[in-house]
Amino acid sequence: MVEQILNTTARGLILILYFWAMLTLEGLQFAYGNQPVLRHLDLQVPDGEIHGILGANGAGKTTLFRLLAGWLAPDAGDIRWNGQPLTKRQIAFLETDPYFYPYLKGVEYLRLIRDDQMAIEQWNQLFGLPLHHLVDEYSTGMQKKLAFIGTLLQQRPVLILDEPFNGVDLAGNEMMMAVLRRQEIRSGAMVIASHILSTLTQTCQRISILSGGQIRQTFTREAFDDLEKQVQADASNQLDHILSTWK
Amino acid sequence: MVTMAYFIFIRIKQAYRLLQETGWAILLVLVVVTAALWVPALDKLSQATPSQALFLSLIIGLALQLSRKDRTFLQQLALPAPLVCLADLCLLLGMPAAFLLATGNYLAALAMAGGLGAALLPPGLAAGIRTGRANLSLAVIPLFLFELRATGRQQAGGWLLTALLQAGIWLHIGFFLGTLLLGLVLLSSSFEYLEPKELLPVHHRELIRKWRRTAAIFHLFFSPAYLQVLIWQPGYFWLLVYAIAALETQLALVFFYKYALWQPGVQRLSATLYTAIGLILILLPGGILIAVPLAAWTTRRGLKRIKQWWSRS
Repeated sequence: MVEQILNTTARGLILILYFWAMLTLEGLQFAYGNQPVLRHLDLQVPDGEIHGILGANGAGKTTLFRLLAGWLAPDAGDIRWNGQPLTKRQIAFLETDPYFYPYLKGVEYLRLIRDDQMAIEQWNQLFGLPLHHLVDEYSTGMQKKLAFIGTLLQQRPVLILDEPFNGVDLAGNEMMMAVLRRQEIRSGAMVIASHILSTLTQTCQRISILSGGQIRQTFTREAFDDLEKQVQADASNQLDHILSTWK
Repeated sequence: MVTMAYFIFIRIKQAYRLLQETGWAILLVLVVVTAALWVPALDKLSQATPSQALFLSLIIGLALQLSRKDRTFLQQLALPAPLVCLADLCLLLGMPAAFLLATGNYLAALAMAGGLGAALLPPGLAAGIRTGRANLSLAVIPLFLFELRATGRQQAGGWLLTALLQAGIWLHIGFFLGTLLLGLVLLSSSFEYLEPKELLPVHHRELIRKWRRTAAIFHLFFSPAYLQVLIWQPGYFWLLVYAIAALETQLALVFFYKYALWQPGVQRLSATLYTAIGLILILLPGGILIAVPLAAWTTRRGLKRIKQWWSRS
């Protein structure tokens, strides 16, 4: 009897969690031709959480993000937000190399995303970009900061950031991370990929390892030290192995 | 709320800045110098029947949509992406349609305007499976005016030459043939530098893709000539087919020759003699019957060589 009640409660909780504001990836599969990239990938990111994705080059991070953004269709599996299929209008995606129209000023770029001069100026106080200059004249880091502001201005429930800190200076990086950590000024569930582990450990609540097309392991904040040790040990072992083959 | 009017205003500003950067003096000279070419071209356009105008506008619409690089940005815009695409098409086709209206060819103008709606596609339809960005380095005016970053940027000479060639093509197919011949002669010099092993295509399929991308740029550049022949000068159809065959043959010869002889450490390779033989064969009556198998053999050798190098390493 007690077992039955516990089972029913557990199922109810799972159901509540399922419809709770949450990004759910279930049994996601994708292949480029005969080359499988994602194999039955499962991931849950609740609203408000920043979830880091860590993986080697070619592990499938960008493919995963393209699937989330709706540019690619999964071969199998579901991507849901609050239990409903995720739509393109629910996603803000900051690419590794964001696209900018030529001959466009920073302020014009942001106004096309959201015509709210006050919000644009407020966000730019954080980064101090020359918004009345052409974006073509910006450095890589400045372009990244502009696209970052654009991503936040969209106020969409799911944010995907692919290598957001690449090319950005130290102060800019710190500011971006500070913004991400402050839930009151940004909204939604967030998935970030980065090759720099420290940027993930400083911003994310959880970090997942993507390997062989699957989420191999997920670390909570308490276990980030273990993750860092594991990454360092893996690199060290690999180096030892290679050095042992040298004459 | 971002309005459509604001988006169109931004597009006009972009076009203005692009022209300003190119330089008004250069543009003025360009307009005057090429007047003898573009006046007859516009005159010919004004004589277009509605079906020809519709066909032309469909081609322009498709070309624009298939080359879009702004899929990611469209998704993030406050405006609906299909409306943005429609606005772009209206701006690009608006000028010829207005010209046709002004010259009294109302039906053709109507067809051209109708083509706007018909050519509307979801943004980035064809680019959905692309993993990289579209990269076209040749200026094709004005189809990719808004999207090509490289267009006109400190390339006044390139603008002038492209405008002359493109406008000339509308005047007579002879311009196309002349340009093609010049291109075929210069082709070998474009492929004489060998890449180091690190930059070699890692698979023979990638090599084939690289070859086809190169061919696509040529075809895109000559596409006005194809249209010109198909619509207004159908009598030259077989000449056009021969010209395309010649281009493909010579390109395969030049492109694969360097891979057929690729070796580590070799940086430059003169293919002049080999390609000159190909060119002479193409120009001689019936010579293409020898040039085509020669190109096929070179292609096979090039692919085989790359496969061998990668299987060894």
